[in-house]
Amino acid sequence: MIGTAVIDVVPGQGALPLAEGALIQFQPARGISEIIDDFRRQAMPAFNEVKQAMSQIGRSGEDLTGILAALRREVDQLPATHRAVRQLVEEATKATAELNQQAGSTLAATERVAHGVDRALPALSEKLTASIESIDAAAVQLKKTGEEAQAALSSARPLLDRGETAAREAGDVLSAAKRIWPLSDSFKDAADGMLPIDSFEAQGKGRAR
Amino acid sequence: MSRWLAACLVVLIAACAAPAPERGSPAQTRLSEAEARAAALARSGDYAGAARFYGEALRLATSLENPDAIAANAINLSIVDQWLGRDAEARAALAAVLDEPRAGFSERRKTQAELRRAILEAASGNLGAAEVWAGEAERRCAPGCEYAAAILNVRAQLALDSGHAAEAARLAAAARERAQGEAGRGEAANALRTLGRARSAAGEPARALEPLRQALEIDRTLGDPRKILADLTELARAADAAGDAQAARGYQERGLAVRRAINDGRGAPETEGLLRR
Repeated sequence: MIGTAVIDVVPGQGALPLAEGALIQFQPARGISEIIDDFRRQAMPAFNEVKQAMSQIGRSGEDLTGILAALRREVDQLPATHRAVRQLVEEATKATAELNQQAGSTLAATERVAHGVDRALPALSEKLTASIESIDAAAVQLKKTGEEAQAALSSARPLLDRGETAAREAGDVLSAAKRIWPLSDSFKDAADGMLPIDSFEAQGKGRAR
Repeated sequence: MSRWLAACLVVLIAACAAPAPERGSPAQTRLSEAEARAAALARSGDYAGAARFYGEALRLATSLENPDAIAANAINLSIVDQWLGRDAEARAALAAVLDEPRAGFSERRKTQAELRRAILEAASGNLGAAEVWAGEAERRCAPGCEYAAAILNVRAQLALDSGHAAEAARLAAAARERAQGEAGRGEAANALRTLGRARSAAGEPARALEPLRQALEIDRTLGDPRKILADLTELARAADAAGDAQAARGYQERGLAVRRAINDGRGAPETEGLLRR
């Protein structure tokens, strides 16, 4: 047993026995924590760039059309990240299956040696829990980024009053961002295209927009 | 545990792969384009243009017998018509939903239309009709309904306008409780403003200040100048009534600046009159 892993040495197909002192190579499987690290490395910079671009919208004196065009470019690049994330998630699925096998092997091995179960399973369980927490944390962070992006666009509304073109571009950016997981979960959709139904307008002040 | 993780991953993959719903036929494409153009024009402040395209979208949705699109565009049209001061047209737009009981509108759309009609009637000073429509919306609004806070706020305003300050305060407090989360912030601020107004009307101006300050804080975050002005105006009145002339003057000056910025100078005399007092 090495750390939380158990190496189960099973005879292979070769006819010759190993020579005395021969070295057996150990190639550890890519763990979920490494996959999550990759997820963060690849996804976060893209989202941070979107965040930065959106924060510029709020600044006065900026060329709004230019910012929106830049923002659109950033959002358009996100699908690449999206694909990378999918690949990582698929790898994570494989890793989970391997982890299951590993757990089974662990159990078999430890049953064979009649002790060690108490040590091995809690450690694997902790590993899984930590992985789930890491995934949760990453998802929460991305969701927060999406919410911040939405807030930035909302606060940009007065600027968007400058023209229909800018408004349409902002709408395009928002629509593009909405189509991309995991940003899509972060946008609270007035998305059935509804204008806000606001009780404030019962005071007869709605027309003074 | 590992099964749970695997299930989560499957859900994640499914979420990644889920395609956006698309509309197909040329008429459906024109409907989508009209809706998108109307929304863009509304965002840019061209309400007349927005009304034109919402009207077109309503016509296309009707030709497609698409009840959800009919209702959505009728309600949006009523909103921009009200912004334009066209109350009769705003009512007529809502008739596409409210006067067509057999059209298969969802309960949610019916609730939206009834709430909008209540808002329209209240804004026009038709308090009785507003009560009726708010009551209809409230009856349809199931527990946990997303419009519960807005309906309570309309009822609170109607109570206040009818001189029932205590009832208005009770309803506004209930609306504040129901307006939860990010999506409910606008209605939360509306509730706090009405609560402040109700306390002022009940002769408790000092107790009105805190909810009004909270409303102002939320409205500044939301970035709606109309509401910021309403909050500052109510704060000025409450501070003045509570005997804090200096604070009242501060709120009045801020309100005047906001009003001038909104109206580009037009309509400022009311606030300037307050300043001269």
